[in-house]
Amino acid sequence: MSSEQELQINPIVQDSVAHNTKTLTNLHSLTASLFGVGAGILGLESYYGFLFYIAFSITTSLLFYILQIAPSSLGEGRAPLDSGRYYRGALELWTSGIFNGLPGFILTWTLFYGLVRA
Amino acid sequence: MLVPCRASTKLHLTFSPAPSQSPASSHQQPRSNTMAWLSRPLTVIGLVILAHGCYSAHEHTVLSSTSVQHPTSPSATSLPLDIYIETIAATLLICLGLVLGSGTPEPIQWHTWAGKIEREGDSTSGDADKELRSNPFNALEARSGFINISKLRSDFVKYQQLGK
Repeated sequence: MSSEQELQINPIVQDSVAHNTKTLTNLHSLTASLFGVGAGILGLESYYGFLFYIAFSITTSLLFYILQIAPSSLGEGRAPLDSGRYYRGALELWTSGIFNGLPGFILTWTLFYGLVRA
Repeated sequence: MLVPCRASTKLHLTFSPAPSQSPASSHQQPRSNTMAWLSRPLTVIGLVILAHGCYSAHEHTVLSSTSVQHPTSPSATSLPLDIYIETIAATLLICLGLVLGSGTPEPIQWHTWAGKIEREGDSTSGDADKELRSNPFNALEARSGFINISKLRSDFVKYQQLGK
C-alpha cells in the first residue's frame, strides 16, 4: 500500500531501469569472460579462482560506480556508494553482476587453463 | 469568457535538482564523453598485453615440463612473478576500458530524468535512444491555446457588417 503510494508520488521510468540493467549486465558478462582468461593464464585452482573472480568483479562494480555513477550521484547530494539514482535496489549494482557473469567466467577459466597447461 | 493564451510560451518546468546544483550535473556529460574516447585504445592495449602474458605462460609451462633439470608436473610449477603482474595489469586495463566504454546510466526517478532532459535537451544522445530522450514536456509545450469564441464571433459579425 505505502510502496504503491510512493510509486505514484515518485514515478519510475521503466525504460531507464531496463537501460541501466542492460548496461550493467553487458559489462559484467564481458568482464567475467575476461577474468576467466586471466584466471586460466595464472593457472588458479579451486577456491583461488573464485576468490579472483569475486575480487575483480567487485573491482569492476567499484570502477563503474566511480566513473559513471559518482559524478552525477554525488552532485545530486547523495551519500557515497549510494546507487539509488540509477538502480532501484541498494544491492543491485554490487552483487547482481557476480551471479550474471559466473557461467562465462567458468567457461573461459577452464578453456584457458586447458590451453595454457596442456 | 476565456482569456486567450499564447501556445508558444515556454514553460520552464525544471523539477529537480535545484538550479544551484545543475552546473555540477551538466559538467558530467562532456567529461564522460571525453573519457569514452579512451575506452577503445585501453581495451586494445590490454588485450595485446594479455595475449603476450598468455603466450609467456604457455611457453613457460612447456619449457619447464620438458626440461631435464626440473622434471616436475605441469600443475606444480609456479609462474614467474612478472607473468602474474603482466596478467593482472592487463586484466585491470581491459576492465577499465570496458567500464569507460559502457554507456552512461539514465536516472530512474521520473522527475530527475525529465528534469535532466529538459535542461540538456535531446541533442546529447545518439539517434538510437531517440524516443527515450525526446522531451517529456513536449505535450505541454506544444499544446494549443484557448480559443476566445466570443471575440471570434464579434470579429465575424464585424466582417459580415463590412460586407453589407
